[in-house]
Amino acid sequence: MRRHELTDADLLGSIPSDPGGFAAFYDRYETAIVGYFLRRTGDVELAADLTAEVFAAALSAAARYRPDTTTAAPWLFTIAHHTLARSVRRGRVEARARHRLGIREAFELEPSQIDRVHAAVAGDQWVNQVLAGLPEDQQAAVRARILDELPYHEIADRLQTSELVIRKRVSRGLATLRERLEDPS
Amino acid sequence: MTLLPQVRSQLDNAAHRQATRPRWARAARIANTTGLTRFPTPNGVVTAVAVIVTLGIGVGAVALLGHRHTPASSLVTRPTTNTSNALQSIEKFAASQFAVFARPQTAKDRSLPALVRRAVRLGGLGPGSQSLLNGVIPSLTRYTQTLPDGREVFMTVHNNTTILPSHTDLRHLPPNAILVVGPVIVQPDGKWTNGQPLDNPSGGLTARDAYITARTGRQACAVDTYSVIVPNQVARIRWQFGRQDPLGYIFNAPLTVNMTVHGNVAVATIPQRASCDRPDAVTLYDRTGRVLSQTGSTSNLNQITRPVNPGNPFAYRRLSRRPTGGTGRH
Repeated sequence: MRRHELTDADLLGSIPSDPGGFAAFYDRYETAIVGYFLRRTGDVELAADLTAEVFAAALSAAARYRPDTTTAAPWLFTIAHHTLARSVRRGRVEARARHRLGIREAFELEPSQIDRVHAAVAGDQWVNQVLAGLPEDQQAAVRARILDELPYHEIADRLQTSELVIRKRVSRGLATLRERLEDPS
Repeated sequence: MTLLPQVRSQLDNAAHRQATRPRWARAARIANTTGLTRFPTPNGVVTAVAVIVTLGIGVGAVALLGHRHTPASSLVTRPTTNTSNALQSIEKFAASQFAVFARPQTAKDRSLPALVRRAVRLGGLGPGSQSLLNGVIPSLTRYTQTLPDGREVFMTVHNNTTILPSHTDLRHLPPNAILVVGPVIVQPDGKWTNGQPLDNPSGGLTARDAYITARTGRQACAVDTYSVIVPNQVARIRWQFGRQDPLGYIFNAPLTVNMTVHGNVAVATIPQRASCDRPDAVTLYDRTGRVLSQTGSTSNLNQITRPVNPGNPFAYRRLSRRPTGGTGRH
């Protein structure tokens, strides 16, 4: 079976015997993770550093990964969330996972690379793909609450409806997304 | 197409290294992780003092192996499965380089894990914060001092490349294992005082790191605590900051910070934006007040050499004068 046909759990589980599997796993989630960080930091280089740290942590923890779902996205985004929180708290980008793996050299991004990242991520291609298919009202609510991190009352004001309705839309939208991620079919 | 080929390549190499890593043991080779140079003191004794110089943001890693006092070759022993031998060799070497590890471990020294658990619980830091102790060698924790705000400072040795939950795992140390000496600063009541309730200062050793630190946000410059690891001969350190900081901001006068060493670590709290700054000159003194070493220049502390950069997006407030009271005497 080709690597791109393997599930996340298979890829992560195969790393000891097939280290190349991790590159396939990386390719699968790179854009999503870079986009996650770019949206929160607004800085490509910072997002790149954080992305490297997240995947290094994922590589270190791959042997302990226990698949609860068919996708490792929730697991990976949890690592991303913790990495970002720790980095903000410490005031510097975490590098512990990379150090554990013996990765110490820093990397510099070329200007063209920065543009490419912006083009690939800032356009929210991945987000649009994920949100596609949700009813428009739920899309707007999820986007405002989860991506733009607006408070419920502000979203309600903008969309001219009640806070309770917004909460329901966000909840239903997330539930639908969760189901889709767990069962892509 | 990969957005970050450098990252992908680094991780791919790491995955291959991980898959081919031998599991046999070898006594630790403790290496200098800072990559900084050393310079001789006036009496010809070569120390690791230069390691300190660029630790303006806070020290996390100081090398053990490769220290010139002991030839590195004498520290690399044959591969062994004898855990106690490996551990003993690490302990012996740590004690030979840092006096704080030479004294017997007390109950207070051993209280670090409990203090960390308490700080995590009371500070609401989340269980992940306890991973700070991952890899710390239990027999190599030493209490050094209590800061005026109640935070307690410990010196630790931990393996930066492999998680070592127990002594028995020492036999799995890879041949190129790096053991890192670093302080852990913990506020027992979990409160946020002059720094976060739990911290193991590290990183920020390169210009790039410093730049990232400056970009990271308010948190970066809100952390006011500097810590420095020092060799045995050093009893006091003086840092001198010029009128203009690396970001181009100008202050009314230079700032001098004196740090007293306790147990091979010196900690000072310098208020406001000083943690984004770097000392222009660093002087190391021994117990008698003799200068062991000096780096940087004290002649141009008053000079304004860089253009002021009012548009810098990483400056959150523009101070008209340097903060006062940063004596750093603890």
